[in-house]
Amino acid sequence: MKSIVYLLKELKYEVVKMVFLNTFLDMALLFLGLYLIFILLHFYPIFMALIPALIVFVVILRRRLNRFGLKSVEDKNPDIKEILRTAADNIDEDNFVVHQLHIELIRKMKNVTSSSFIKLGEVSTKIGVTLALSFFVIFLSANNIYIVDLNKIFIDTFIPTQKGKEGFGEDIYGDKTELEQIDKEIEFEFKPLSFEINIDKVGEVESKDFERNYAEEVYVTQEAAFEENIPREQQEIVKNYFERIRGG
Amino acid sequence: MPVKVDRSKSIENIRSIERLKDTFRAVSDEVGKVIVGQKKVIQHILVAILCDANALLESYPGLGKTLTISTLSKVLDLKFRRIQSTPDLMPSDITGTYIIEDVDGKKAFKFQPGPIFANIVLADEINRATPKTQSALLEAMQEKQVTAGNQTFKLDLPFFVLATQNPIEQEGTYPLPEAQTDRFLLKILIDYPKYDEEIEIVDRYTKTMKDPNVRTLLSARSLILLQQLTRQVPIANDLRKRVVDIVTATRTNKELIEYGASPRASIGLILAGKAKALIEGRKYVSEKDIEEMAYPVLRHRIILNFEAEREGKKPDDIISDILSKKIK
Repeated sequence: MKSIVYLLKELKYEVVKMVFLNTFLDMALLFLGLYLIFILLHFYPIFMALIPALIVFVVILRRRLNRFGLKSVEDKNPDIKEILRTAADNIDEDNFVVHQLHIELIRKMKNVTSSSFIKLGEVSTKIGVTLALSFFVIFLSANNIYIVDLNKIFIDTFIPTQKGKEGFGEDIYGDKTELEQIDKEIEFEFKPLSFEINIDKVGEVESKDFERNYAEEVYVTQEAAFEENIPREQQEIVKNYFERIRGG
Repeated sequence: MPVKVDRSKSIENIRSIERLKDTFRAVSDEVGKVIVGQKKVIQHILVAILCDANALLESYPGLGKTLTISTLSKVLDLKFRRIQSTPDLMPSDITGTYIIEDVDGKKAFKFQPGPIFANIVLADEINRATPKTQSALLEAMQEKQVTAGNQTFKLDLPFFVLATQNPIEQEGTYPLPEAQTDRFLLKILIDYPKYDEEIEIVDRYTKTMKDPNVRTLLSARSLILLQQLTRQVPIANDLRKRVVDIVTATRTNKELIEYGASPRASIGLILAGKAKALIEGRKYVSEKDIEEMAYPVLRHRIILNFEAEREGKKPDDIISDILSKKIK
């Protein structure tokens, strides 16, 4: 009884591994497919492709784990289909015939290998497609190839008020028409993988408290001449002198 | 006459289910010394015996029904009795009756057991007996006991009734009511032998007057153990549901079926599947067991309506449609 329980657990573990592998490959395919489409549409941020891929992974994994179970083992090993199903359904029964059934199942399961659970053709195809998609993604990214600039259309459609303002326009580098007004048109482009200037590193302006700092050598002194010791009898002469200078 | 009991093939010595296949093949081969062909019929009769149930046998006259059963009873070391049903057959002629006996000068009633007190009872042409007599027999089948006066007598185990019906000559017969045919686990049809088989039959029974000797391969005790073993054969849940689906399909389809099979048919079909699996040396019920046994289990439990009869359909055609899921 214990041996058959262990055997069924082991089988289920193998099935889970197989389902996980298949689902992971499906997720990778979906992610790379979406990534490729996003690149071709010039749609950013590209990590958005990861969200549907992860959701699909969780949903499909749950559904497959619930649905498949030992069925996939049966499909791959039709000669043990009925015996395996009967043994699994009657795991709690304990009599002579069921005991004999367990012995037969254990004997037959020795010929079943983990590799028999995997559909080799299907898995190979998926891996091949995954590699091909990966290659295309790298190639298109490196050469900045796209069909439609969805990003531009998106900005034009949803942020029309910003168009034409200084610092905005068609892109962050200014209005292209202004460049065309010059005799020779200047064309330049930034390749996403060959940035020399990383504009991402330009951060927000830091706010700091304003401090009043004065140089130590600056100070106010009374004009020496203001309180000059002029004799009283000569004060009138000085006064007249200054009024004459003033043109009074 | 039985020669000897071959203890080496008795259930006590069987350590694995696979060997049962050889045992039942040996039984079939032994019956085959007398009966040419009819392997499926023999297998289905064994299924009924293993299920501790009864069977209805339908065939034209002269196809060896009685000989098959009597030979099987010899091979299985079982007490065999035959009842030839006629309209004047009384229940007491089957069950037995009290007779007055002189014991030490005093008169006393003594029960004289009837032919029902056997292990295998062949009720030949049961539809010629009156409903009252039929009921007495069917009660014994169901309860495995007989009540005479105020006393109840248990029948010997294993107890198995094989009733036969003739599909022709229906005049002056009392067809079994549906409620009573339902008590038979199987309705087994015997067809005419194939050409080569008939040549062998003619050859075998025209050369000598001596009946072939058959060996006894199983004992009554072994059969009872095998009946217990039959119920231990496990069945998968989806197959159990399939059986219920098949049986309920006979009730839900009103286009061709007047009355469908009862839950007793579901029980019977699973049991028959288990017995067939055991006969074939398997430790589990297979889908093919259920599909094969669906015909003898269901054919007498399905009453077709006028539309089906107008289309010339037989119960077996409807069962085929149900099994192939044309009818749900």
